[in-house]
Amino acid sequence: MTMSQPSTTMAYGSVVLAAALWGGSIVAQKMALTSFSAVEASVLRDIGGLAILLATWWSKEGGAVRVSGADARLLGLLGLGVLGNHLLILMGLNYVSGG
Amino acid sequence: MIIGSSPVVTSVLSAMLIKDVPLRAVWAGALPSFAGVGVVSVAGFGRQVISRCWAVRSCFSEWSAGRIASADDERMSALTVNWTTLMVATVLQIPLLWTDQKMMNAGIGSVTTSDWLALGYLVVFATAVAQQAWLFGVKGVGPSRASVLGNLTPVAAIGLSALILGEAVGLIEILGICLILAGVWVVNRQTAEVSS
Repeated sequence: MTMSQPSTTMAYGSVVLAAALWGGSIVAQKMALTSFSAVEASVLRDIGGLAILLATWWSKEGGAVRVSGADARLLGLLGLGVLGNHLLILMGLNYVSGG
Repeated sequence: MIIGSSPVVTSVLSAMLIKDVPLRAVWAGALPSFAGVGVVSVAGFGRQVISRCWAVRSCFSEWSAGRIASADDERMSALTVNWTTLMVATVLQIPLLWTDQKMMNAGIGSVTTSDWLALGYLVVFATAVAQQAWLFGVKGVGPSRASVLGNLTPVAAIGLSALILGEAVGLIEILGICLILAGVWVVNRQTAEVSS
């Protein structure tokens, strides 16, 4: 299933929203490291996010997906990117300030 | 601010890999942005922290490549891309729990309410909502242009760090962010000229 093309205004608005939320996530990650290790915070964050996304996907798209071999490799590569993003930022925040 | 150079990396990689804008249009902006990262790293914290900062930086290069690839993929919905990639990341991280434990050693009672709220923010807003919003936006405007606006991330991070964590924002940090934002302004202007 493909997404319909969003309007330019909505698209820019979505990007701005994402950037602002990610900016706030740096502070939240720094706070979370008080009680959690970098790996614990990353795993809990991803499990929670995955649960929300899976529930949303199931209700909107009926749980059907067809993935080719090439798609699976691409998704695997993207997954490594997500892992690096989430985990390495948390590890780095142990040594630098949030700003 | 270090993370703020990610949009410029995304623009460069996007220009190289999917050629949505010419590479020459983004190089002029990429250099001052990276200079801004260098200013913050060397002047603010000393050379011993540079390698750690670049660990954060390198992860964003990888993440940027992922953002480009996900924007170019029209065979699957953004929601499908999001949950499948997050599932891959989660499965690969779980074994690492045995190497790095803090809450698991101290007990769940050691976690304060504010830390649970911070984790909740990460789960709901930074992971689920922000990922969906980003992919939706990239579908509409492309990764290079979207990445320009991604530089609101360090602005929000610095402002909220000062507000909530009480971290100091000095001249070095301001200089660094000016260089980063100058770089992305150049990228935005040059890509707009190329498009017109």
